[in-house]
Amino acid sequence: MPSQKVSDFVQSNGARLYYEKQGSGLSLLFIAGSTGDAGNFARSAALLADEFTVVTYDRRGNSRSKRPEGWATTSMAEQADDAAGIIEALQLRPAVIFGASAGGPIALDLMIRHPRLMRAGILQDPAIFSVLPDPAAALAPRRALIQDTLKAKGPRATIEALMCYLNDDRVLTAIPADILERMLVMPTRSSTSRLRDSPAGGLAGAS
Amino acid sequence: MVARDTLPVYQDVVKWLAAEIKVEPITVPGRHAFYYYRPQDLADVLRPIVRRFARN
Repeated sequence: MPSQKVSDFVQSNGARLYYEKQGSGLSLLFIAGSTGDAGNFARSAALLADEFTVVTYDRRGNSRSKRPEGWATTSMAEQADDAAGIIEALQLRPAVIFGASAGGPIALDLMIRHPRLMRAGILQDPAIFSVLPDPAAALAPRRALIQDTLKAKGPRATIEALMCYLNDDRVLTAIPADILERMLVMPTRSSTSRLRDSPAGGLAGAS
Repeated sequence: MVARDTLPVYQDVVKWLAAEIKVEPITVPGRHAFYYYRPQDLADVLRPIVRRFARN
């Protein structure tokens, strides 16, 4: 019988992070990409909570996890340390990690630097573009889309355009309304955040 | 894991990474953020993987 879902905040690596925890058994921690939050995986997490302890969270500066005072930029190492802090604080060790998109390199960094906290890592479409022969060329269409839309229509429209570019035009109706709204207001709060290179790889334009 | 209809840049990264760490990628249906459209599919693909690690 899955335990009731807990929605709360946890102190991790100097940040106050929103998380949702449910179920029991081996721990599975979801890490969302650059525009998403815990809500990305809420429906999948609910389905898996009959067998596992499932935790989703909003990365620092995203959605319900507010920016720490004076915080303006981040790194893969910082993001991975945040996840490590969650694993420790919520006693999830050893956890299986699922990282999607920009969550992929965060999971990879976690695997490299905190192996004792983990049982395994699963990466989906990891945004580790530095391994490509010419990352700048590969990401040029995306950069142009972001720059052009930002200039012409502002941050909210840019996130919409990016989501459609990464998926299709149906994505804006596939995303639950509350998650979409958090996603679309986020750029006004954290558009200056940049994920820098880390041992896990570069993430320019990561999503 | 790679979404079948994701952008080529992600497919290329997954190919590189899979070769580097010597694993066979799992292909899931849909586009990059397939879990928005198909939460059940993500749960279905993760369950046996996580279950395997629960036994180890």
